[in-house]
Amino acid sequence: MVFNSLQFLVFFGIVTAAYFLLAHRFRWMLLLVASCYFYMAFQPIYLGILGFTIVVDYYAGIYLERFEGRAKKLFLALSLMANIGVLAVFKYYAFFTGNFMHAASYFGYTLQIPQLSILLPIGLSFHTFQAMSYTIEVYRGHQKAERNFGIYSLYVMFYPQLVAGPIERPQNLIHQFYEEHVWDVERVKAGLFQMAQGLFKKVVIADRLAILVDAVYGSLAIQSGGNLVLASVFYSFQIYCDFSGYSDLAIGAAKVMGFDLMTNFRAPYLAKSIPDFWRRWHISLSTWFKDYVYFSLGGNRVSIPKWYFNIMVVFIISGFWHGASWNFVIWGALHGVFQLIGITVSRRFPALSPENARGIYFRFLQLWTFVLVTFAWVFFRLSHFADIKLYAQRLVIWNVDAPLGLHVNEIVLSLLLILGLLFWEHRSTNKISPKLWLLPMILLAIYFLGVFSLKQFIYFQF
Amino acid sequence: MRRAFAFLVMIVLLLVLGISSSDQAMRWVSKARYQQEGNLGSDKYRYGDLYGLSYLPDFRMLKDTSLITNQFTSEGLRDMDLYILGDSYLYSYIHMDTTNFARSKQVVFRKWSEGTAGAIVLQPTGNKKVLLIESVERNMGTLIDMLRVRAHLEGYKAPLTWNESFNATLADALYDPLLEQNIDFTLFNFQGLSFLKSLKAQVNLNLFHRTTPEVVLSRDHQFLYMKETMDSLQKGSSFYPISAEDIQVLLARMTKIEQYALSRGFDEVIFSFIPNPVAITQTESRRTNQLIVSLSKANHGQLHILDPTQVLAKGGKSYFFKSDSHWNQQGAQAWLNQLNQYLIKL
Repeated sequence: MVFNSLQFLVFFGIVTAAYFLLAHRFRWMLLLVASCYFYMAFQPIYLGILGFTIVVDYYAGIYLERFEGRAKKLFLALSLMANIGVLAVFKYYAFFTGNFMHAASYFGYTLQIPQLSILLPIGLSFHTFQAMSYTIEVYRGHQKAERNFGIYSLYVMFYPQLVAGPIERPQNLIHQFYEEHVWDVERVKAGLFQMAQGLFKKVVIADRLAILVDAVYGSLAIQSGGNLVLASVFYSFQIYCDFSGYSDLAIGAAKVMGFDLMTNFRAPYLAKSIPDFWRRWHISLSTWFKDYVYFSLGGNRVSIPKWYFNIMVVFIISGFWHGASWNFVIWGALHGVFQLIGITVSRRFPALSPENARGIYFRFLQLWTFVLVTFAWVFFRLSHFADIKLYAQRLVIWNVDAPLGLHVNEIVLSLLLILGLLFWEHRSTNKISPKLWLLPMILLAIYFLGVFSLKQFIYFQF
Repeated sequence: MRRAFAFLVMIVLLLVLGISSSDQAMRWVSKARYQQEGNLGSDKYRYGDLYGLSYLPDFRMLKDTSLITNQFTSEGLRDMDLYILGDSYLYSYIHMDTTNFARSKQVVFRKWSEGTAGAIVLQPTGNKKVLLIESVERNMGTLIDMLRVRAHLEGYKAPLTWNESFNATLADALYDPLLEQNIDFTLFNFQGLSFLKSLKAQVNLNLFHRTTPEVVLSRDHQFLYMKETMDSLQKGSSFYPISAEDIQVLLARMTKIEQYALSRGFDEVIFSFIPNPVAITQTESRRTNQLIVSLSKANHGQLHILDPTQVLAKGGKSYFFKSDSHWNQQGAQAWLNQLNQYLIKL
């Protein structure tokens, strides 16, 4: 059940109405049942995997609180191993065994490791990371172990953010299930506005850009450099509007019922540097890595080589989190390298540091950051090395007339939408609140300009 | 007041979900809405199925839904039990009884879509038992499949793994696979809303040269086609590249199906494939793949293949609706005449 479907519209209406009709003590049960139904709409059997991690982490939390010292560490390790084990089996098994067999054949050995014919459970990386966040926070003493099994299950399964985040922290979410939320008209309006904004980003912008992107990336062999550049820029906005659109829908849906989920995007294409980009892009994941991996490695309070090493490790893992494929690792590594170059330049030439940038130089840095990010997205989009090679070869060929998949008017509209989005985000970051009269206009625009193809959200695959 | 509103919203949406999840309720609602004139009625199929998807105002043409009857009423030789496995190209245009089919003493029709209806029972008569397997070109790749034929002739169900079985059982219980389109029909398919849909269709066509994703406008803007039949990347397309090997694979599948049907008690098996409209109307500048013609040629008379391409080509555009994915009554009539000639000679 995708958010851009009528099924979700009906589901959301029923659950929200029932939520406010029910007495407070029964609401968490309603949300839990609704979340199970929501998840089972994708693939019922995978509820079992969620159930497994929920049971393991629920008891791990209780034992982590009960024990100290080595026993405590052992329970944390068991919990993390269970979660990472699930990821390893369902997401990374084929990758590792495939690469192992390939490496063996390189040295003259023929290995046949049996492959599992299983589909990747939807949103696996998201809810696994959210579950790990819980046990780590209980271990660190920042969160009390949750004794109500239902509430803990709901923390992992809360339907708005179950399949593609934001990846919540227990301190932010669990207490909200105990609080009584009353019908607040302003809050409901704000939530609906955010949902409409998310839907607009998804069906009017992302799914429209996807037509051109899919057409160009699907026929690399006949494309020109100009088309590839245009498709790459469009892909940058497609993936942003797709993912941030989902986040807006998730945060808005939760807000209507009275829940506050963490902000996941903050105008990332207005960033002035790569570190700044990561403070604005998929914030719930980048802070997860910062809190649980980067700081655990020592962060920047180590020698410079170790600091650089820590940065690269975090970005490579982050790339790997996105998918079990080398192109994602390269994508992550590229971001790491960009960041290291940026740090080095800023240290040697403080005047060039983005922190001090003003005026035209500031705009140049924003554009340059966008170019770097867009370049990296090419590796994210193309999963085969042969395609990456072909992309590079075709990039220098400019005098061919290849199909773009969109009429020129629609390309112009797409560019206007992109500019409008940047302008809107620029205004929003300057704290100008959205006006309510925009809501019916957004809905009308969604109806008339939306591309209703029920296209899955890109990040669902992770 | 607020609680009453929330209660009302919940009840209405639960009703929508309940109706949209139930095949029986949807049949009842659809029937009532199709029959109703005015703003509350539905015109989804009244003007052709492709109009019902695209809502392009130029294609709002009332569709003739009459059935062909009494084409073969002579009391001549009636020595055949005709069993037909077919699709909407037949049952939506031809009355499935003995008055339409040569030599037939009995006609039993089974829709492809009724795959779970159980086995077709052969009547113990002394008549010749003929199985006619019909499919439109775009569905050939899927329907000309032994498991699908077995599902109809012996009620066979492919065994599922426990995982598939669990998923299927639970998914069946919780979700109707047509839920999305059923909700769309229940909530938004009213004639009163057609002007909005037409406006949207016009805006998208005039500004962006684009129709709804499932529908493609012909080059001369005279016909609507299903995208599936036009997109050279899709197997059901008349422009999908086919090789001699593909033809041989298809023929081998058909031969196996024929042998299987003969072993089930049929005396003859006839295959008939209806070309996609674009393969006959020839409105595009691209060459079609001529799948059915190639299949007939490669057959060398070993299987009974009734190829209506030439017969339909004589009528060309006049045999097809402009706003529907099917042929019209004239097209169906031409095919029926050809079939009856074939049956007489069989």
